[in-house]
Amino acid sequence: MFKRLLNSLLKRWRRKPAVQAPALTLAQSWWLFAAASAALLPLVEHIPLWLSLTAATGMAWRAWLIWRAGRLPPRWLLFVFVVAACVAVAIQYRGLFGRNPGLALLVIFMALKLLELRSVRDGITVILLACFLLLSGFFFNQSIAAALMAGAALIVVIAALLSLQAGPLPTPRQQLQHSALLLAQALPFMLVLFVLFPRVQGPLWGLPQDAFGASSGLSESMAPGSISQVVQSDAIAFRVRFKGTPPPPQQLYWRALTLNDYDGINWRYRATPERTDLPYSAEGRSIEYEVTLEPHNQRWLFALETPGQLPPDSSFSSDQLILANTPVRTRLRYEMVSYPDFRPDAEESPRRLREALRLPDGVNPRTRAVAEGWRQQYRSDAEILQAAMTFFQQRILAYTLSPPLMRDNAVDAFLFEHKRGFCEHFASAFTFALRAAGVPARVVGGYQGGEINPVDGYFTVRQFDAHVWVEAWIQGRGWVRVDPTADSAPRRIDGGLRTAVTGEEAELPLLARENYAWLREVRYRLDAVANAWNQSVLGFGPQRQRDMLSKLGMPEPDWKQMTAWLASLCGVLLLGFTLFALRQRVRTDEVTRLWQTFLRRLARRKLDLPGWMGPDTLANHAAAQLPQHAKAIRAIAASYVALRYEHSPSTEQLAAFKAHIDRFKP
Amino acid sequence: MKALLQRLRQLLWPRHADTPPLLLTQRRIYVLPTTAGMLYASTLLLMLVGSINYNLSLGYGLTFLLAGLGVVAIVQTFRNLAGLQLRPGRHAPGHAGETVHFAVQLEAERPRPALRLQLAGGPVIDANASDSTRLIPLAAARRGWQSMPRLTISTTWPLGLVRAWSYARFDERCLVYPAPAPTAPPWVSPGGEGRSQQSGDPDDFFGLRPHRQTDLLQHVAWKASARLEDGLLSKQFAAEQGEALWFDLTHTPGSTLEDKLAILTRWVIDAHAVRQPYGLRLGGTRIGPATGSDHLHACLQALALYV
Repeated sequence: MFKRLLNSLLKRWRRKPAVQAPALTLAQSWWLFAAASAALLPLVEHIPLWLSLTAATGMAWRAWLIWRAGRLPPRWLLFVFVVAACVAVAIQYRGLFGRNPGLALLVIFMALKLLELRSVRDGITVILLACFLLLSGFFFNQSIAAALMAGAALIVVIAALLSLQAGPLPTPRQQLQHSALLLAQALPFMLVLFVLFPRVQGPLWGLPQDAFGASSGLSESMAPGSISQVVQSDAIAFRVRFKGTPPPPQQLYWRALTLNDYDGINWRYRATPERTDLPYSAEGRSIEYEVTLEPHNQRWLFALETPGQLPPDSSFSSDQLILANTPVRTRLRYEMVSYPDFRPDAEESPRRLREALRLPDGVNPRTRAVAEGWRQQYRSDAEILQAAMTFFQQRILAYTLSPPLMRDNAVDAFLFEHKRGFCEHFASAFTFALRAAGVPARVVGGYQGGEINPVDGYFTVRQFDAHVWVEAWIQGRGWVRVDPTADSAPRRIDGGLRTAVTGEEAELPLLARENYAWLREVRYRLDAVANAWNQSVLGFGPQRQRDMLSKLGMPEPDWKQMTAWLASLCGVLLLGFTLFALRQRVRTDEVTRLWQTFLRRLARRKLDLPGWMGPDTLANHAAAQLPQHAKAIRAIAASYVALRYEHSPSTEQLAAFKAHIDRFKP
Repeated sequence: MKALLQRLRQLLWPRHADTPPLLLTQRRIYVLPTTAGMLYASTLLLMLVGSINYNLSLGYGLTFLLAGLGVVAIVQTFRNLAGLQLRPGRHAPGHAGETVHFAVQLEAERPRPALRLQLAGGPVIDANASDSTRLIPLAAARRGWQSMPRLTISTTWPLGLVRAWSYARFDERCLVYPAPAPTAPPWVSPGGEGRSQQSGDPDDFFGLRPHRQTDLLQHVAWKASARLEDGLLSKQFAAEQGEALWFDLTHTPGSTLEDKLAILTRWVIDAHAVRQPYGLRLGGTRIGPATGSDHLHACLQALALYV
């Protein structure tokens, strides 16, 4: 009794669903496996190792199952895996929401989906997951190489989608060719959409904190050694295109931030009130240029002195910094005008000046003593500034990439003991000395110089061009730029880092070294290509789109116009494509054509002739219904059969056939 | 307005039959996304949102490329049907309760993979244009003429994202023979009471009847039995060798006409199976005794169409 009950229960449980989706064939399974691999592979270097290993294990398991035609693991086991993986992801990323945990979950779902791949519908899920994974690869890398890799992967993914359709069984090569062909047909649509789809500046909502990785470059505080760390990198900070001749290198001080607060070791940035317009209107000689800034995850924008306009969505701070309203997290392009000879009104709030004098007590006593000496000796701030510059020149300080470690009383150590330092030591010491002498001063951070790329004419400013200098407040003249480094290592300013640091080649980034000219040549070219890619493809945002469309003759392009153009262009493309696709080359030979003429003539007599009949049967039926033409009909059918099925019909036969049909007019 | 609606309706759902050969043109072909296509579109939408949110230029590129691929899928799927010619072929009759097969010839000047054919109410069968004639099954309910229901020809090839389909209404019909009775009493000649089944010469075929346990094994009609679901038939033997049997409706047992026709059908089939000459009398119709499949079909047609 119990056994029977159990049996019936088991039977019910085992019963298959009434409508079963079509199961996957072996070829389809392999294709989906290939698609999943193609989508996961580019992500490996960006996800944690354990995640890659988990995915690889899942894939290997699946490959084994396909190979041995084994049974898929039961659902409950997969469910256990999913839960375990979610927990692991939550532990790794401290949560399940956000970009990186989301991606990790996608990777896991992909690997597990492969293990429950049963029907064509599961196959579609894998394809769509693969598309998503390909997209997420662009979070990390949008270079030309990444685009090419994603393109290759997409061909495999679409080939897998093709394989899901029951059809002829092509070889893998044909399948890939078909996929590539379809994608090639989609390219024109992509181009139109890319150019004309109304672009929106993201993000649409607040992004999770992990959306942006650490960016190299300047930071909001400067400790001894922090700049020399930055200059170890030859990553690009920003690119500039000057309209007209570029200014000489000694004028290229790209101002970014001020460092006001000093605690004896670190200089720190302090936010000052901001406004949305410039407090002055600049005039005089102007330099126009366009800056393409690599994302640095900071607010400051770079400009030469003195900025004559503000880029959109930015504001101007009291210490003359241009600050974007949100941190720069994508490549940003802006137009700038600078007036190098113009100085804004020499007015500064007493509070700001007080801040520019503040020093911690009890540090650097020797420097302090020297500075206080200047204060007693000279009456004006300008004279003190001159004295400080002379003092620095007399110390004969060496400019070096590897300064000795100076921790306590760093300024004293630099000026009186080691006399070797990098630009941050110079700027820090100089500012300290000025403040100690009662002259308001601040450290200014940014980049100095840059290098013109002869291939495309862009000025490239790299991280190793990072520099700090000093601004001093001189009554009546305003903030005056002083570069103490320039006095000790003038070649740093005229010829860049590589000329200023001699004998330390090995510590410079490759590109900054003098004797690697050929390498720089190659790099110039690669750089020009990468820049063109950045400018025209990656940097194609709302602004660029408007510029481009106005250049193409669309005055004041707005989203309505773009949509209208988009729709009509897509329509034209679709029409052209459809016509192209339907263009049917019907290549009928003469025999068939003549036979069809004969059939048409018979059809005019409205005979009862079913379409499935062969020529002989047809002739018999037709002859019976048209007795007066019976002979001609039989003759025509006989010569048609002869022409069609004989081994090598002669041309005379064809001529006779033609003559018969020409004469046949029922 | 009303006329316009009428015209529109006629355009969309024409009531008249299509004259063969039917060329599938863009006016006749409908295209809509499949479930997979909808999923694909929603994925693209998500990808677009992602690209906007993270300002991924290449994300836009990928999304737009896939969107373009969707458009390509529409055209390609449509192209797989467009220009195809349909022509009714030679239909295969069947018995009531079984299936008849309507034949359709597919002609195209280039390959048309992964086509699906379906008669309204029937199963879906796969086809491609290179196998020129396809037989499409349809369950036959009653004897007589079965007119060809609307034929749907569809395809989702190549990407499965959209489905293109078209209808063909051919003025075609296929014969449905009566369902043969599963078992039939042995034929008894009218007026020939003397020739009862027991008294027959065992060498002459007389008819078939269900197998009884007492029957000799060599009297089992194996061929005829093989076509039965279960059970066996035994041969019965007539007195006179070579004499044709006359099956007559008026002397057929059975309470209703359909029962009688079913029994007649069974007799005809069984007689054909053992090559026994037979004739058929149905009211005014008289088909002389003969053998062979043409004769069989003539008799079955008469049985199918008898009113």
